[in-house]
Amino acid sequence: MTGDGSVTEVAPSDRGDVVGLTGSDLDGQDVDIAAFHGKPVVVVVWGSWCTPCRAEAPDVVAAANELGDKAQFLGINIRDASTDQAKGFVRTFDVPYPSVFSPKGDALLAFRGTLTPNSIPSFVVLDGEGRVAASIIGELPSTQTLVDLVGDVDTSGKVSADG
Amino acid sequence: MSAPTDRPTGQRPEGHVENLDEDGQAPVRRPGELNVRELLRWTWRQLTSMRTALVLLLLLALAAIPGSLIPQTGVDSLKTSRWQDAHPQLTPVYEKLGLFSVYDSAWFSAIYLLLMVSLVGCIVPRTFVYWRALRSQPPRAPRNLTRLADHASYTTDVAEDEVLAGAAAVLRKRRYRVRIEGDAVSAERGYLREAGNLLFHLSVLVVLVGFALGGLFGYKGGVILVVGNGFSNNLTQYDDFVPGSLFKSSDMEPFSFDIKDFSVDWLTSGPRAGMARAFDTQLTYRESPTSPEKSYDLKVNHPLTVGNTEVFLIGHGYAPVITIRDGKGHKVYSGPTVFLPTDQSFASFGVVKAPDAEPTQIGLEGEFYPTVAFSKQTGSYFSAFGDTLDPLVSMLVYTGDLGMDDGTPQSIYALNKAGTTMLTKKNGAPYRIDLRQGDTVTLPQHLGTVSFDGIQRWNKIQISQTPGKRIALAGVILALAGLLGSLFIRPRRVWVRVRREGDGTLVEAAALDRSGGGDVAVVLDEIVAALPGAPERADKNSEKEQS
Repeated sequence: MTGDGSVTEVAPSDRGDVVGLTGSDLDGQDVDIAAFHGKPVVVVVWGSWCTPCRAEAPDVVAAANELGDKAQFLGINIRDASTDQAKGFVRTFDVPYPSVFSPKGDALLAFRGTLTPNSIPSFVVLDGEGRVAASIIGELPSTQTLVDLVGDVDTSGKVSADG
Repeated sequence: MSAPTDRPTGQRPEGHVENLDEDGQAPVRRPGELNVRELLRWTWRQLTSMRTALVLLLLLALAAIPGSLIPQTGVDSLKTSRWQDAHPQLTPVYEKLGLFSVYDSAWFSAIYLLLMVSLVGCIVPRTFVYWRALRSQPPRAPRNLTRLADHASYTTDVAEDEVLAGAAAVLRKRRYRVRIEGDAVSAERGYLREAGNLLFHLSVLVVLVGFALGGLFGYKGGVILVVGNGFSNNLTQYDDFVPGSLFKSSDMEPFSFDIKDFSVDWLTSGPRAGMARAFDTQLTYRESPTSPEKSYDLKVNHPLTVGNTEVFLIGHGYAPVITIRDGKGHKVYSGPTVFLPTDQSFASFGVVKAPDAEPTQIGLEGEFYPTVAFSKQTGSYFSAFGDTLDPLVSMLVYTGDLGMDDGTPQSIYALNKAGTTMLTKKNGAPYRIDLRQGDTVTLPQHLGTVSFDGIQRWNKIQISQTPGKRIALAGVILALAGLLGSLFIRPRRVWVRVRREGDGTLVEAAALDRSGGGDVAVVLDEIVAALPGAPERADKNSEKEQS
């Protein structure tokens, strides 16, 4: 299942519940998405076997590096037979962010009813409160798309906090 | 069906409009010529006739046959693509005819829709007819009751109106609808036969609607899962997925399950020796991420049902556990690798891809034999038995660019060899690695090592959501009820007439079974025996007594 790279944004007033997601990373360490509250979180759905994911990986890594401390990236690795394949991908593309290892894809059920990342690759952006604010379903159009989207989410969150 | 009139004069069918030309002259019509409106009416009558409905129903049954004989993309895309590779001549023809997805094809939909229209066009007018029949009063008594096949008469000295009132009471007690008119009582029962008939027709429509709902709003998908792994109901987790045209992914039930264990019984004797039977998968599942965990025994024809979704076990196979370390010593691939069976003895084909290996990407392609044997005739391995008595993995090695980094979608069961070179021995023969369980081989040119660590099994799971299923089932049950009603409810009419005859009353009674084949003589006897002033034994089918 692949998407077409369509971008969807949710107005702050329409955002749903805070997404709860916990799991283990590729080294078996616990990950809790709640630890990242306070800045936008970019959730990246990927697998080492997924050719579009591999093709776009340099762009995604560039976006993560460009945003630096402005946003937290978190991968969800699905359908890889072991963490070895996933770690190989991380090595190859110098992926700077952690990933939840979720071979059966249950980590994705946390996003149900919001902007479900129902294709691979896909991206979900959470605002500083941990609510789903935007998504890209399908391959990333460009590095800038993701950078701008995170910027939109960040400012919209600040506006809503002020007003 | 009234034949269209072909004469320019005489009786016109109702609603006929003369098409006059400019001079006001009716153009002379050739025999068989119809104007547009007549043609439309003729078409509509043809379409809504019972015969057409039956023919369409038969066509629908026939149309479903290719769907079960030819592999369907929606059911098993891999099997379909293999079949297509094996039949290069037929494939384009079948593609054109839509035979790889029969149930989505235009012609199947056409039959379906025509049948729906035909049924509706048939049911609506009939409903009014049935409705009137249901509410109608029993028909007036025939003049000569004695002419009916089943009749009886007797004389009594009970007064006429008393006999009539008594007859009415007797018949009402027997659940007849009764009408007293002059010197006779008319009674009828079995009105529900008509209702049963109507219910049957309506139910067929309900069944069709139910199936259509399932086809439009549901989906069918398949996934291969290694035993010990799990699945969550999200689009990303499916290997193949065919949604209905109105399906929304938000309708998917958020269940997940894990395959805990899987067992197969192998037949080792008898005519079917070597075949597997009695597959059994132990699952644990959650209906949603917050539901309690339950366990389930998944067998062939024993699916797991979660809401509108059903999970079926439809196949199994082997996943050799293979590890690749690259030239730098990194574990770049490990874990069970799904190999797809190519014959009854589970000789299986599979590929292993290590796109992150250094110094170069590594791809393996080859076979897995659960019980390996060597054929001197063909000079190659084959599998003698489906169980893992003597397993072997035999693969060729490819290095270079596996074509995974340019974004082109790729099957995990196929190797793109365009940018690769096959590893060969010094003499030019293919470099083949044959591994038994526990073996490790060191590849030449410092490429790394390949190990065959163990064997796991996989299950092919089919998951389908069919929202209209219960509606269809209800329709089938109602249709049966209606059919039984229309078969076994006996519509009967009974008349009792009284006449002054000398100083007594002559009572005549007759009964009629409208469905034919029913024996109403017995019924009539009982009724007559219960009438006021009836003799012990009614003098049946005889001329009136000379007293």
